[in-house]
Amino acid sequence: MSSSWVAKDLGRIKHNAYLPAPDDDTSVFRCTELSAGAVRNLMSEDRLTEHGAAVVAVGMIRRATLDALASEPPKRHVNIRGWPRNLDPDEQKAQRKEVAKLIAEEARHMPWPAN
Amino acid sequence: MPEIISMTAVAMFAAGTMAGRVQRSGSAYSAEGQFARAQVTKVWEGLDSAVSLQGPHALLFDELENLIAEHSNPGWDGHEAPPISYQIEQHAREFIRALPTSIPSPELAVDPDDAAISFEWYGGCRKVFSISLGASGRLACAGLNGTDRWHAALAFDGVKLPDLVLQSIRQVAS
Repeated sequence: MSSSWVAKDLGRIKHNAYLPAPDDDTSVFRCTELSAGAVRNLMSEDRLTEHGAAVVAVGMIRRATLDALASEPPKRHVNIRGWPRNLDPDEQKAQRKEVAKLIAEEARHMPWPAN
Repeated sequence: MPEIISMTAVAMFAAGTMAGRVQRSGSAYSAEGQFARAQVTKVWEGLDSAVSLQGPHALLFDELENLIAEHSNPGWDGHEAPPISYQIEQHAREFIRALPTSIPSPELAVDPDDAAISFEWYGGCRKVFSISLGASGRLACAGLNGTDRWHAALAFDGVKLPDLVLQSIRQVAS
């Protein structure tokens, strides 16, 4: 997770955190009933960032007309799919931003526990 | 703020040099002197606009530098995110220069798919507007305001922000 995806003043999650990667999937982990430490342990070292995690209910993903599909391994890994497509890449980006904002509005920041 | 320092320094240097030429030509200015005088006036006018860059948005150039440093390697998101390109950086600088002083400064972020720079104005719960500026130089915009949602892809001439963008910023940041 990029540090720029957490708003400076409020610890709010920005929509950029949920935009898909170049492969059109948003890679996330199912973290129901897990502590922050357990969530951190789900991520391999090369993917682990110091900025914590963004957490949102799966129901919110579906309300935003996207799919959350299990994609293991790694354990508990989920891909968010079904992002809008458009032949105009800038129009497509604008559409995806709108959807990602709906998700981010319901997301919360989970900082990693102090060691 | 390297841009501001260099712009001010260049302007001051040019003004001093041209002022010297005008003085040497005496009170009855030659054509060359009149031309130089006009250039000095232009430089001072330019200096005024350079000084205005030290207003509310000046810190954005520092933030942009930090953002570029953090996102300069491929895979900065732990996956396959590309680094911020020089072209995107230049578009972002133009965008910051075009921000009117009358609107609040946005927060910056980077998009994971194409390393576009995102400028966001947040006005509270479900009151947010942002623009992603990628390699094309067009503005990919999206906003929420209560139950209203909108998005658009708009052209940007590198100088003046589209009216729809200014209206959207004022709507969520008011």
